[in-house]
Amino acid sequence: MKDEDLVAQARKSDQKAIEDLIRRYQQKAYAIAYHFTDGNVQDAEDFTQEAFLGAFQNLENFRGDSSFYTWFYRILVNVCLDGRRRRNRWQRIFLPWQRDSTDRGLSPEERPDPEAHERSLKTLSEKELSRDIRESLKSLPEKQRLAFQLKALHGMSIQEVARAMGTAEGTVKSHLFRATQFLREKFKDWEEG
Amino acid sequence: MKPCPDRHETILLDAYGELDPVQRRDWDQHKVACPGCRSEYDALLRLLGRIKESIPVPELSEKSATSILRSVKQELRKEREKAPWWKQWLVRPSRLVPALATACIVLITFGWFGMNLIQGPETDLDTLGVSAENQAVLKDLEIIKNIEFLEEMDTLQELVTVLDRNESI
Repeated sequence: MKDEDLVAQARKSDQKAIEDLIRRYQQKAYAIAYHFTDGNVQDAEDFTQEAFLGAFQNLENFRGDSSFYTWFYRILVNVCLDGRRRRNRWQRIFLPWQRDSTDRGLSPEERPDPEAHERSLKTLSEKELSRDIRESLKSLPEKQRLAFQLKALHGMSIQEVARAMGTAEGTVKSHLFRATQFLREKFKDWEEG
Repeated sequence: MKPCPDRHETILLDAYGELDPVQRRDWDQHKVACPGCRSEYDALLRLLGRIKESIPVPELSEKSATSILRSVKQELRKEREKAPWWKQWLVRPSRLVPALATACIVLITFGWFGMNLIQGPETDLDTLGVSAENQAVLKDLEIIKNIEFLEEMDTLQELVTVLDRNESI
């Protein structure tokens, strides 16, 4: 059954239609939330649930100008952005305690190797390189990172990313360009090696 | 070898699969002729592939998926069953008590200040309920109390008259 038909039935509170829509987009929504929360499973699940709830509570506002999933991803992106801002506020307040507990909680293998920073990217192991890529993504500005993740990791088109982020396609291209340039520059040594 | 400076955007769009057919034809021709652009494009593709490998897409477990589904449906059901606010007030009028009490307090407070503003401060005697005759008596009493001061005023008046007369002479 098509999304539009399911949405029409979900508007009439058809439980089966609601369930089908959730099942259809649950995995992808979770993956986006997971990447956005830096791999925090609990937050990702909460954000996914919050986004679905928000979508079905506001289903009468969905005019059908775009596809359901584009509209839904926009809600999801907003939920993730709000959630992250909330989390950052808490982190600012409790940072000293969190830093202490985080340092204590890491196993010796997980602790960053101080010498690794001195080594060239050419000699980085696969594991270290993966970690470095994740850290580099984290260091990107919020919008650049979001555009990059939606495009490069979740395979959305630039038009879909623009709709999900509520911005112009040109702006998305600009975010993508900057993010890619940053990563390209950062991993130049690895690439050449 | 560096790519052509005007081809950065095209390289990026091609790596992301976003080139339209016209751009693609032109770009494909250029790529064959320009080793710098070709190498930059290949490097970018490798990097994007490497990033995708480093950040795997997670799977939502069946248990979590069912839990999310159940929670969403439960919340929606709760919301549907909840009556609108005006109905809730009709069913339980006791919910109106705090609102009504607040409204009364506000009404009395503003009513008091409003009355004072309208009547003004000069109506003290009126507000005390004193009749016009009694008001005249009270004014007379006030004059008697200040009679000494008034006598001094008379003396001063006379002094001024004398001085004026002298000056005119």
